[in-house]
Amino acid sequence: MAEVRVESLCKAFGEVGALHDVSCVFEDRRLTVLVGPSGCGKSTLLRTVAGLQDPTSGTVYIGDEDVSGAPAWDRNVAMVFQSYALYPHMTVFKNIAFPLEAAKMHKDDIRRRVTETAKILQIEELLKRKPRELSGGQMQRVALGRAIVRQPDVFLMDEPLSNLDAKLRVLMRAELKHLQRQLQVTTIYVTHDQAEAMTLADKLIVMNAGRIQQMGKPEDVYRRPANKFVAGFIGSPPMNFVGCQYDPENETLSGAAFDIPVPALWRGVLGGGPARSLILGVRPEDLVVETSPVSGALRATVYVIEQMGREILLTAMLGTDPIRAFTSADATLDPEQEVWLSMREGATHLFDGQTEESLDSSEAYKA
Amino acid sequence: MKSKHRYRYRRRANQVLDVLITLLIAGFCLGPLYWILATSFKPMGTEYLIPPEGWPSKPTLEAYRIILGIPSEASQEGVSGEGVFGSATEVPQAPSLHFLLPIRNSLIVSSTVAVCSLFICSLAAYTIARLRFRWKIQSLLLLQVAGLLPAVMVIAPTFVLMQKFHLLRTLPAMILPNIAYNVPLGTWLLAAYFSELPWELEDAAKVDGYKPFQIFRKVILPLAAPGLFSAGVFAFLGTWGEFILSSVVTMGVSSVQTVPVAILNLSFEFRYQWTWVSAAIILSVGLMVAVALFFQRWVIQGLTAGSVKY
Repeated sequence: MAEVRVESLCKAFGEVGALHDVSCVFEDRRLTVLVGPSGCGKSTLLRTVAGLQDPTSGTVYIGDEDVSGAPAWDRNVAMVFQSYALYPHMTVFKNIAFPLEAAKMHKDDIRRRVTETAKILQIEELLKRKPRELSGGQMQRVALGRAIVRQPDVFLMDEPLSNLDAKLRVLMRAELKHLQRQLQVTTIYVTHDQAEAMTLADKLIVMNAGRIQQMGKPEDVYRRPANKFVAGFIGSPPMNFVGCQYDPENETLSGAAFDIPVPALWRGVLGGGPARSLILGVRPEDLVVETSPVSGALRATVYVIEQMGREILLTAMLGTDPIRAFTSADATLDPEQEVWLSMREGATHLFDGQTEESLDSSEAYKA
Repeated sequence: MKSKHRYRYRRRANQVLDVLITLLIAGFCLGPLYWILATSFKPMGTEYLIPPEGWPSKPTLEAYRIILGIPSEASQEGVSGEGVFGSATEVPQAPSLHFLLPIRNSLIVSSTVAVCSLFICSLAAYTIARLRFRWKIQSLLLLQVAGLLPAVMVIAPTFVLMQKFHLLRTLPAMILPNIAYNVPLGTWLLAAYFSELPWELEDAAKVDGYKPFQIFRKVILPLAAPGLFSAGVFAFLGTWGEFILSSVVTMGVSSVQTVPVAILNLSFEFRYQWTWVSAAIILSVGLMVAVALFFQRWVIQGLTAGSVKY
């Protein structure tokens, strides 16, 4: 077991920079999820930790050891790939035993370890099969088996669930979390699926364009996004954003199609400041849909009504901006109907109009 | 309805045309081979009959018996037949024809060339397909250019080289140059094959604790079995049929002659005994077909299926 630390990591492919000055810590025995859209550099970061890619500059530590120049075969890390990467010419037993053979372990020990691993993953009856005779879920388990059998210092997982169907993915997600708790191995998990990231992570690292946008506990990242990118990326459906102007005289936020008083939460932050352009953000679950006028609410027109079973996902147009909100499943709404969307107290977000960084919210959120 | 009929008629006409074209091509390729096969079973002297026999009325294995040096009544008495010049020609006793010897020589030369060139080609192809280094494209092009040189162009320098090494009139004089001749094509074939293998497998093996050469041996080579087979068979067949080099470096010494040279000598030495020559050709071709069929068993199609999922 070991902590993984990267310091000032940069990686460029020719002219294209994939990682820009990335520094972070993957705590010992914890599951850290790297999440971000395709091409954000999360896989590059993982592969650099694995030793499959050399950094352009910067340092990678596993435990206290600087492994920046060490080849992959000397790092004692195990990796699960998106495509599983099982060796097609070997049986499941041989696939799982493969890393142990590299370590020149005694045959009896190999047999014992493989059998134990197969038992943990419930794949004992598959040991004699070849990968092509396995289903997606079974291949996934074998790939996991090959990773855990050698008892590595670090697990690296590169979108390991993305090839499974939705149902199996949810099942395997829970199993993975359970397995990680059981084995207590430092794990770095890469995914582009924010729901997977939220449910699995002890710690979440959100990346975009080769830079870390925010790190922290999943609930903190969700509740207090550091910028508009994080706010929009974490959460499904994503947070609603509308551009607005702060008017210090009247203490209002005014947009193209609304004019509302500054939410109580933000008065302290904005109060006395100059007029500025801002982005107002509010999550769909933090909006209350009313069919009669409410003061301080956003007046919008119903555009689409999506019945989700337990609730309705409503898309309404605020001028030209679409706003999404959840409302109860038995609400009676019609297209083109006028609705008033009021924001729950303490659930609004404000971002600077230029930098898109969150206005220092620590004080505001406490209020 | 009218157009439906027309469509059907057209489809039928296309099918007939397909079959005709296929038969034409097959006849073009297999016709001569059939003629050689039929001739090899003809009793000596009947190969010049007018009108020619499509298939011998009295098929015999005599020609095979003679070229393989198996004693029989006919061969012990000496055989005679109509030569190309139309006169009855006396030919030497059959037991002096040991066609098994050139077959043995060809097998040794071709299989050694196939194994050695596969070894060199697979390493070169792995380097080109999977490793990063400067002048990669240039080296690949150079290899290709070397492969395009016509055999007659390299024959003189090869002869001099073999002479310097004191290898003339020996099997290595055919083995060593043929290995070199086969490297360009073999490397290209294998490089194309290696480059299609999923990178994740190599990455997985690295993380599992294996170094590049071990990965090559334990992961890449087993997966490239179909490609290795193709390259090996190419090298084997190419060497088996190679004539110019063999005819030059053996310098008429029959104990080191390979099959193509032996067949030519057979036709010269015995005044165009076409039944013998045909039997020799059929043996040579039959062996090749047998080799190809035998090795095909080891090619498991779709070996890479199920390795990675996209």
